[in-house]
Amino acid sequence: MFRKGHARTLTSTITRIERVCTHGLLAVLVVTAALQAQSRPATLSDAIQRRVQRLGEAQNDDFADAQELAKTPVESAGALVAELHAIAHPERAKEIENIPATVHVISCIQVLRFITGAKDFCATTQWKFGRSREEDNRRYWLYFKSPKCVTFFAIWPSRGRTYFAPLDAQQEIILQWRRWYTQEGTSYRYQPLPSAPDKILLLWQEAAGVYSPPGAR
Amino acid sequence: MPWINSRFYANPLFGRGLERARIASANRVWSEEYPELEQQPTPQPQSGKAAAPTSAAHPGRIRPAHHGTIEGKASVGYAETAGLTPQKSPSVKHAGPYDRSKWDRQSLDQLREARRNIMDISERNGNVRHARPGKNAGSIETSVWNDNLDAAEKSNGSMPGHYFFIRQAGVGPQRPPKDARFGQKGAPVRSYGPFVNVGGGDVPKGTRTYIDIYDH
Repeated sequence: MFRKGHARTLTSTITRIERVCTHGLLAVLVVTAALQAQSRPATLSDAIQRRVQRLGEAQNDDFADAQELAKTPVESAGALVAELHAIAHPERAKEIENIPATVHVISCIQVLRFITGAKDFCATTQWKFGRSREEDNRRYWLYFKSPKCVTFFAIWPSRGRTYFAPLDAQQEIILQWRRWYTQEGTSYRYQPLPSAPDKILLLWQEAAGVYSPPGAR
Repeated sequence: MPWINSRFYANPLFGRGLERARIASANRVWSEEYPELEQQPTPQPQSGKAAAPTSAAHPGRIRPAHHGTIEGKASVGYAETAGLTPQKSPSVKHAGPYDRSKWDRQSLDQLREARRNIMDISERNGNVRHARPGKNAGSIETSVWNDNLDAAEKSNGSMPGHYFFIRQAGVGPQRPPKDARFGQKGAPVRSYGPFVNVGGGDVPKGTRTYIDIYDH
């Protein structure tokens, strides 16, 4: 009885020790993995995603992010194109131009223009522009780059007003960006940034649609 | 309404006489045979960066051939500043904003200079609005157009800046928005004003309107 009981106690003690060891080992493994994950440098796509996600945020330095994203243009372009979405009620520019989601899409297109060397798309629209001054200005600026098609958005620099393309054109432009990336995204000849900081700034502003250097028109 | 020497006159006789005097004072040759109707600008689209304009889509835009010309520059000043007038003289209590005899001389000079600056910038940065008075323009539009023609004649590219932003002090945005990508860091290189904004456009109405000039 004693022996039996002793043997059982011994067995259960050994089992308990084994269990503790196993759990301990597991805990050590989990902690080590967690620590490794913490100390591991973020992958390239994580960094790109983070930069892309914060584009347009009030305090974010979009220009600095654009320069970083231009260093890995293929991956960046893919992440930027994936962010594009249509902006509802584009005729109500005053109400929507400062909404974070709207500013984000504008910033993504501006960075796409920047890293691709001012590539851009435009589309035709079935929208009938109204006769109001607002609609007149909207039509003027959306057709500014080409009289045949509207750009996704346009800015009147001296007023700081942003105008948005009608929905059908927005959707078509997004499709064009996606099609372009699928077909040419990896083979496209992305231009390296100029060496001088002021030239990079100029390219940024030109690509953002604000500055047209003499002779560009 | 006839256009004489690129200016808009409701009264052709008066306009012809005035233009004759202007040309003479500038030591240029005035031609009595000058065909006024051929001078009449037709509102045609400006191409922007592309060719093949369609006037239906761009009623207010000018032809590319006018870019950089006196008319082209005037159309920039007109489109961008038509709603602005100088301040009234301090001694004047009641006067309409377009009563030129009541304008403060210094403020008028400032507005003229600001317009020249804007026109100079338009030579370096084509992202500006162009417009001209319509066919049924009244005397106010006509006088504003002529003011801009005067400024355009003196515009010679010597004034600073690559961008400009118009604001009403204390109301609305005081700097360009972030997505405009200019005027985010540092102060303007020049600031003109205050002027009176009588227009109901994107800049709030008021008597403290400024035109800020930015390099970056």
